[in-house]
Amino acid sequence: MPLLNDQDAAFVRTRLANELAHDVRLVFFAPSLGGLAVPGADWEMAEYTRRILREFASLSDRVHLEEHSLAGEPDLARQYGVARAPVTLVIGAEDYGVRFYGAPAGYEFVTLLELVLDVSKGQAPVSEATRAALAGLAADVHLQVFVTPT
Amino acid sequence: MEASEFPDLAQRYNVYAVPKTVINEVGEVVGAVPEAHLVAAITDVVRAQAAAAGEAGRPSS
Repeated sequence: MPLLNDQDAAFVRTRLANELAHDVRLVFFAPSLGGLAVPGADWEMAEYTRRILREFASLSDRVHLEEHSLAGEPDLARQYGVARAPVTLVIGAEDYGVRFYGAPAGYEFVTLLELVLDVSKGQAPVSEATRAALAGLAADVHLQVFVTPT
Repeated sequence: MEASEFPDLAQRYNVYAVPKTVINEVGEVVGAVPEAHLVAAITDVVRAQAAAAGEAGRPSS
């Protein structure tokens, strides 16, 4: 049984079809992939994330899902700067450093959709004043936005 | 960053309300604030860190 109902799936499919600019890669790292996994809340959230990402990617042939394992592919994880999972890297024409840690559940599913569309365009919907202020910063900035699904 | 799935980080950054934005591990903004407010907070953190790095790099007399 799919996680997205028909109406939500149709909404996402339409927005992706109309608004995607560049193709987008969703690079997903689960804590483990196959082999030994310890069932529990962490494992369930990772599997939920994997399922919702598969459904999401199935709604556009321009969204490409890659599934990896943090435990099984430590070198690749290091290359992407990933030390925790579940995590989904959202990559467009470039890797802009956008990472979604945890399950895109509830309202956060919309966050994932908006992230994909922004990354696809290579631009966030911010004002000119914000763009100018950020362009003038002397150093890179690491932003961590904590959210909950409700 | 889904707070409940990463309780160690939520604890480290004292996340009691969401959304909470942590800037370079030291600055923080709680709530869905206007864009200009967030930009100001980011600018302040970067300036403060640059100033601190400058102080640290200066030879002591």
